[in-house]
Amino acid sequence: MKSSAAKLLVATIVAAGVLAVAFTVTANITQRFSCFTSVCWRKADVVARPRLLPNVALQDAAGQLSNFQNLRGRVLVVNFIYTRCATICNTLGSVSSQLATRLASEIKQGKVAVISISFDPTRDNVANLQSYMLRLDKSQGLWQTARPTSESDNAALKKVFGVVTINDDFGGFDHNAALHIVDRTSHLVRIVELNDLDEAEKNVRQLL
Amino acid sequence: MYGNYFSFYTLASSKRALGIALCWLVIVSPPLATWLKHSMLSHMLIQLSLLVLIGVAIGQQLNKRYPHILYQTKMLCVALLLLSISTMMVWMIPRLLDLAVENVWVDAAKILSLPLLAGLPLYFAWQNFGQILRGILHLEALATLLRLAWLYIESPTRLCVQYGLDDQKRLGAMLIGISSIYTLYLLKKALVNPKVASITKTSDESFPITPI
Repeated sequence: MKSSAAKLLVATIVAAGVLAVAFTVTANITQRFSCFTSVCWRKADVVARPRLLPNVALQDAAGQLSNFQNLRGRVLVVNFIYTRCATICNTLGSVSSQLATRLASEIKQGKVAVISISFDPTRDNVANLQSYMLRLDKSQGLWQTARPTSESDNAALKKVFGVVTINDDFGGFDHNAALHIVDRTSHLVRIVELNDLDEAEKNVRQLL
Repeated sequence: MYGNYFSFYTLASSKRALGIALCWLVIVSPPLATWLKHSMLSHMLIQLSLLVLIGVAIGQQLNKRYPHILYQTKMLCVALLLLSISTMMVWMIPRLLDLAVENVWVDAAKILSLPLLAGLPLYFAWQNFGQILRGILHLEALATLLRLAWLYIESPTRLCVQYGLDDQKRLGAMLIGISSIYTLYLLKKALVNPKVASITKTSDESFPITPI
């Protein structure tokens, strides 16, 4: 009788131990049970640990070269596109141009920049960026588009921003789309839902 | 004679062990693993389920060779079940599926933990359970499959950044199919009484019908 009670106690302790380990592991993976997807986790992670952007070269739709070093001192709203995209990137384009219109005076003063960066720089040349902007820009040139100048720069950018692109069934890409807010010291500090213009604008103004 | 039988038995059983090890190696090594992980459907339905089944097969082999393990794990069967279910639940978190594609260490953890911390403990727990508990677990497994299917089909957004929305919906549809087959299997198990079946069989044997 005594030994069976002892065995039961051991069994209960082991079971409780298993549960405790499982609980701890899951809590660590999911930001204390708040994030079960990578998209959600990335959003929480950049707030907790702002990410310094690599100083990669960027070429804009006019063919001018720049880099993140030159953009220091401005608050950036960055999103990632590819110009052949027929669905979400068009939304991204119009969102960007709307946001640029809202932040017009700050952009003109050189305090803010709204940039769409192509993650397909091999196919998206300067001419493609120009026609993409022509198609979607309603902000009279306040919104910018750019492309990294090499595939390695592109990979470095995607890695820091946590942008994952996968080939879809139609020769295009599936990609996680969002508005990435970068502070004046070139750190990615917030990720805002694509359709949440108010939240994006609020975050930018806080960082000015 | 006995020696012959014994060596034949160990040979057959080490062949089986080798087969399990080979299967484990093949489904996690680059050519096949890369292909399996290319789609959410094959990653979850084929690779993850095979990994758990490999753990179950390891359990079977261990049980054959060392029958006392089963007796010794009797008291721990609830802990083993919790370990198995927790491990499977952790690998159902979409973020971990993404990480298993992106990060080789997470993938290694998956390759090791699913057989050893999910399949193996499940086998020893299951052997210690009675029919009622097994029935409850079957129903819970069926419900989980259908919950996941519903989630994958209805979710308007992608759960994994590594996989497309179409892939996710195909997986959901496939899970509905699998659940249907599983339901039929459970119905057969519940409705066909093995005792009645064996009586029918005996009576058949005692009154054989000679084919014309």
